[in-house]
Amino acid sequence: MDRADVDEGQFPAGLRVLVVDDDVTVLRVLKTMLLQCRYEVTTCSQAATALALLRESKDTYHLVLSDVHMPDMDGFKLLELVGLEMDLPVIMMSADARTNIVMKGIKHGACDYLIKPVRMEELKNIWQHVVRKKWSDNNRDLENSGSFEESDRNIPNNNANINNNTNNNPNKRVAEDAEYASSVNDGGAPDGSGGWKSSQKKKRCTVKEEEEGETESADPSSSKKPRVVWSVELHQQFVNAVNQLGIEKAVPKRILELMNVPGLTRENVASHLQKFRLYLKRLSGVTQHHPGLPNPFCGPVSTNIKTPLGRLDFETLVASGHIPPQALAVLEEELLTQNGSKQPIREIAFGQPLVKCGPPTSLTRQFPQSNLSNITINPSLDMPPSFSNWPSNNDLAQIMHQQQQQQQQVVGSVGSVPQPSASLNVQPSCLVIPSSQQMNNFQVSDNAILASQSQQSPSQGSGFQTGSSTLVQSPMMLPSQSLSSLQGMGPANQNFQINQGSSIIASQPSISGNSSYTSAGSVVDYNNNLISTQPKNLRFGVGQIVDEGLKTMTSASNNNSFSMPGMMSGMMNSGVAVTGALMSDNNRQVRRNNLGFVGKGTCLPSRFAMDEIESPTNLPNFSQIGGGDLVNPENFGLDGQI
Amino acid sequence: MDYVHLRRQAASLRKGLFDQGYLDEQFYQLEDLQDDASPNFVEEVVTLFFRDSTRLMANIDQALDKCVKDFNKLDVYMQQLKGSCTSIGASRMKTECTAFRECCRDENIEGSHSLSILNLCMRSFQKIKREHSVLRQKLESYFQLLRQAGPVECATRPNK
Repeated sequence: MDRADVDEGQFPAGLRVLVVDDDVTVLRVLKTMLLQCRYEVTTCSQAATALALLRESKDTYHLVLSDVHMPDMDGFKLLELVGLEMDLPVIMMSADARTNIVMKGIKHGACDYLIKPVRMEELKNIWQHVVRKKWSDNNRDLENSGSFEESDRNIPNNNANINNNTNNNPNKRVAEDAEYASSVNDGGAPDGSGGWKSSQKKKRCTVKEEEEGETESADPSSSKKPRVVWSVELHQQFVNAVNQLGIEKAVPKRILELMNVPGLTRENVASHLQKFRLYLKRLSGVTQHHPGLPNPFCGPVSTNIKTPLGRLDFETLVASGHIPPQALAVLEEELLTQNGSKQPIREIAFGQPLVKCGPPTSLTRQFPQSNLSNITINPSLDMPPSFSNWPSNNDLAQIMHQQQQQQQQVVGSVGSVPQPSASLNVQPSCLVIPSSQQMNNFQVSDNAILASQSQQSPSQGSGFQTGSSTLVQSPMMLPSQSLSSLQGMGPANQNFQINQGSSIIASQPSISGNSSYTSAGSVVDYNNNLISTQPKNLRFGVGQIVDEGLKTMTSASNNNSFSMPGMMSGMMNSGVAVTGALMSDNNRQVRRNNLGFVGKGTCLPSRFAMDEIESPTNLPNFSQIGGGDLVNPENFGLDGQI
Repeated sequence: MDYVHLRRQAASLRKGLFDQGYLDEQFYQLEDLQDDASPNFVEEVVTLFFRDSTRLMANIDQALDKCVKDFNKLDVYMQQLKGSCTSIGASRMKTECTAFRECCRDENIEGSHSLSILNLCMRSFQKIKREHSVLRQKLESYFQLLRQAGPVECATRPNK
């Protein structure tokens, strides 16, 4: 859809909805209703088709409406998959109003559960879920930054406005969300589903608040403490350490010792561990719903391609405390299969940082799309895990160069692989973002994991999540990924490792690859060109999980285009979360723009000064990509008050 | 042709459907969706419904005939049918579908009486079939009247 054509004031018109239901009558009725709401509708009667559509272009749709009972696939399963892979809000529908079924929907991560027959009023409100999700992603990011928020306030930076906006008390934000949402919902059907929505919101708000409290208390140290970004690599180390200790015995202190990352504190590890545990729990809970899934140990998981192997892996991980190489390999393969050829780069991000990852895996398997095999997790590559020993930028750059040269797909105008900037200042606390130029890819995998993390807020926003997902996937990703992503990683990492003070951030041309995290698959060329791989960029959200540290990145000047910021944030945050665009406060607005919808905030740290971010009119609307302006942002509370 | 008369007939048929509980509020929603862009929307949807539901019911019939006591499967079918009914507002059918599902569930609890439960289900299904065909007849007449009453009639919103 050409968003630019749609009137700015038409929000939420243009919302792209995918409806999945085996009943043609229902599809027909829903389609007409949704069209009347001025949404864009795509219908399909089979879950498999829906998944294919979604995988094909991750940011094509904003929202999925799915029936619970379908012949070819259980609606809950579809819900999980979409959440895991694409991190899109999914609304379940059914004529079945039994509380336990509805509960099941919530547990699987449904944003809402509509009882059939679905009325127009209810459909008119579904856009809220998209917005809410984005915001909640952003909030989660913020919360995960913990001390970052405090330091944000204290640190003067270009993004003063952003800070102010984003530093808005998350609790307040949450409350606003809740209020806003409920007030709108109240106008809707006063039936069970409406009430359900409200209670879900409240629940989510509580979760957010609790989380926020935890994070902040976990990092009581000085407000100037540099944020730790849980990059893929870092997370990999973390997971290795946990594996070594055994998940039950893994205590922060020991993990910290094993990881041996200078600058990492026990608190960092502790909070990360907490999230990791939650994530695993979520995964194992999810996995339990699919008892039919083969155990990766039993052999290649070829049966259920649709199931992100990541889950299985984690289950295995949970069970055994290890991520088996074959599982990784299988996962990798699966991801490849799942992701299709369009997103070859996706996993690269993981690949590289994972170099250090534990057991040598069979990842050296050659994948058609890339010749990254040399970069797969291969201990011989000898990349030290710790940030401080981060392989010289040059090495990475070279590797990436090679790969990039081999695959220039999405990169498009990205041009030459950026060379690591000499001014890079690698710090342990820096975020290494394996940004890939094809954000979509990355996102998908990450998002999936992220999504699975919590039902309510798929993107826990913790770098951790991404990490976990990457953890499992990384091996796979690497080989299959194109160079560009890798490339992105190299310089990106280097750039991102900038710490405070260095302004490498995205603005630098070298980062071109990195922005890709912003899910929409847009490739950002830090030379100021947003290169979108897809016409619709940035999907909502799942973006990167930005953990702390991003804030230290100063904003680059470039982000003139909305998409840029998103990209940048992607880069910034990425470290781990490559997925879509988890936007941290700062980037909220940016991301919003990128997505063309919702969202303030991108992952970029508050420092990141993006001019556009400041603008309250940057609220995206469905009709616009990157920079859609909401006519009345205040109405939606999107003027930075998130 | 006496359009006025036809229109009145159509209106009264329609009213009767609502009054007697054959149709519910959802049908209003469908009518609301009908506009110049899709002038025969309601009829199209109803046609879709009957086509689909007939197929579904044939499946159910088959399953019941085989006396296979796969009540879960029957439940699934019925779930689908019920969902369909609700989407056009076929209220009575929906009620019967619910009753049927209750029978299936009872079966699951008292496995030993599965044969009698099966009978119950069959009887319940007969009711569904009956409702289905009555509704179809009435709606067909209704739409026919509407068509006969002239295109104007289709475009205007019937009295609620």
